[in-house]
Amino acid sequence: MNPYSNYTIEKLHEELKEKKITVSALVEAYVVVAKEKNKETNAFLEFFNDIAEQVKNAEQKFSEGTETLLTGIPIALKDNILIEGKKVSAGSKILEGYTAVYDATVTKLLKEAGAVIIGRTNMDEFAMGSSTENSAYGVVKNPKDVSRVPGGSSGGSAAAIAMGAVPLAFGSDTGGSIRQPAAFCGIVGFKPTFDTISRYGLIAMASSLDQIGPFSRTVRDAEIAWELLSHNDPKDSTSVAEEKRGKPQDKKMRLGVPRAFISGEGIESEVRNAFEATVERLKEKGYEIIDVEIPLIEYSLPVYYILMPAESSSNLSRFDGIRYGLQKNGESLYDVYANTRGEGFGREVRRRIVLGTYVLSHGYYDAYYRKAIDLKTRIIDSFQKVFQEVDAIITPTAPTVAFKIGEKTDDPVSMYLSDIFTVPANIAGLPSLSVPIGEGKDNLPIGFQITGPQFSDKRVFEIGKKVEETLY
Amino acid sequence: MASDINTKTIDTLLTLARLSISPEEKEHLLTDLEKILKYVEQIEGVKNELTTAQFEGINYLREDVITNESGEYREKLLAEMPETKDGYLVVKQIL
Repeated sequence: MNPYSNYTIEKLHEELKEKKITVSALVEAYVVVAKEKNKETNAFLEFFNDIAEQVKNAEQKFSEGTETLLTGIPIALKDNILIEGKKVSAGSKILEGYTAVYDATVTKLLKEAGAVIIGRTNMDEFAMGSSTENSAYGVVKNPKDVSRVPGGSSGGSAAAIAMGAVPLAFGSDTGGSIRQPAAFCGIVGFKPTFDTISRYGLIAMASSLDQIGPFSRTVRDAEIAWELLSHNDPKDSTSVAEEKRGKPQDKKMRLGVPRAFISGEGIESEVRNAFEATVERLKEKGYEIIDVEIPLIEYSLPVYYILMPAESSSNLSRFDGIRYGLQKNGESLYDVYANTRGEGFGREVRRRIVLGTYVLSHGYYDAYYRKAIDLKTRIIDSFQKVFQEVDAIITPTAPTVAFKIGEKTDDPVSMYLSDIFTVPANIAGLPSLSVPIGEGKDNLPIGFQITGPQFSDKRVFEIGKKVEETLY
Repeated sequence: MASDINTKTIDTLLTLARLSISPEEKEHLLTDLEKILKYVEQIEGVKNELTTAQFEGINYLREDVITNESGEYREKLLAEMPETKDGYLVVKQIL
């Protein structure tokens, strides 16, 4: 049992600063639990062998007085975020044996802050999935119930927090891959405003949607990570300039519920009940809560399943067996490509590459891709109009609680529908936070999602803290 | 639109995407794609509103500038290549 598992990052920092505990003892307490629980969950793909060295660096920062809130804090990174000199696979066989040649900007900033990276976490191959069943390195199990999925695609990082292996972990969110697993595992997950945290060194899936973000136990812990990482980075070619990061508007203390959108058939009654109960408690805290309509929001998921595979099929063309990673031989160059990619990519990845190739092909481009871009632009407008009336949009994070392992693997569309509430924030590039609001049947966690206007990340955290308070 | 997809389309797409898969999986792939396309085709009825200029004018990229030192990663990148010769990447003969 890890005696620090209920501590916030600020509390851990205080203990370290006052020398009530050493960095080494703190990290050890977490690592022991991580290794033990990992036998059951498969959340980690690797525990690093340079932890002692990282601990020493952190201790040095404390003795020099150059420590930050994250100095000495054990963390974990999803296996698609590069760490120089470490293996990185994006959960795929096609990158077997590959070693990262540089640090992602996020990695660099976390190292500079003195965080101790204890390992890399399992994920759906190339972040394609909603259950972390698509990893070439085995299924991840939900620590709350190991017969169930942890959600995905960042299921390893979410499980790592839920099993007490680290107080802070990172994932990537292209259509809900941070928030949905956070909801399924009963923890906090945050997707910042699009491209306000650098994606340099993140293995790309769909570049117009991908965003790195934190997992933690509390909203404040996620905010601490966001404060460190949310900066312009010239190495990320679409990183938002500091001067363009808009000022937060005046608070209205008014939240909007897209009533029609969340009243579909697929939503479980216990999820709905937990959501409505939290809405009532937020009213007691002084929020006015109104129903809103966000025109075209219902098209977010179909738009996503055009744009994401289109961009993925292009991004994944670099995995050709020629320059790095797996290489399968063949008679011609074409055969080397096709054999390497056919064997190296898993089923879901192949499916999305072919789908992306289809929607971008001559004769279909206008019907699919162009129309999807058109709709994306109008969904952004719809959100902007609604945000003139409310501070944020609130919904359940996912329509169901964590489902059984294997339950949806044969039906891609039913799997895709588990991201129905998370995808709109990616389409519109908005900050979006999932906060746990208790448990439903079989003690399975339920998440509450808060989505704000562009660059209102700070306000989204504030509302998230109010949601946390409703639980006490 | 999904009805347009058949085994011949799948073969063409697999060639374009440089993917070699088993005949059995092609069957699965066809069924899966039909299901997914049926789902996404709900956007079919929505009219386009963006003009071509608006559509083509969306560019979020910063100026294209080099952010690395020249040769900074050369040795490390070469080390990841399956086969090299005199600092060059070896590929199959293509002519």
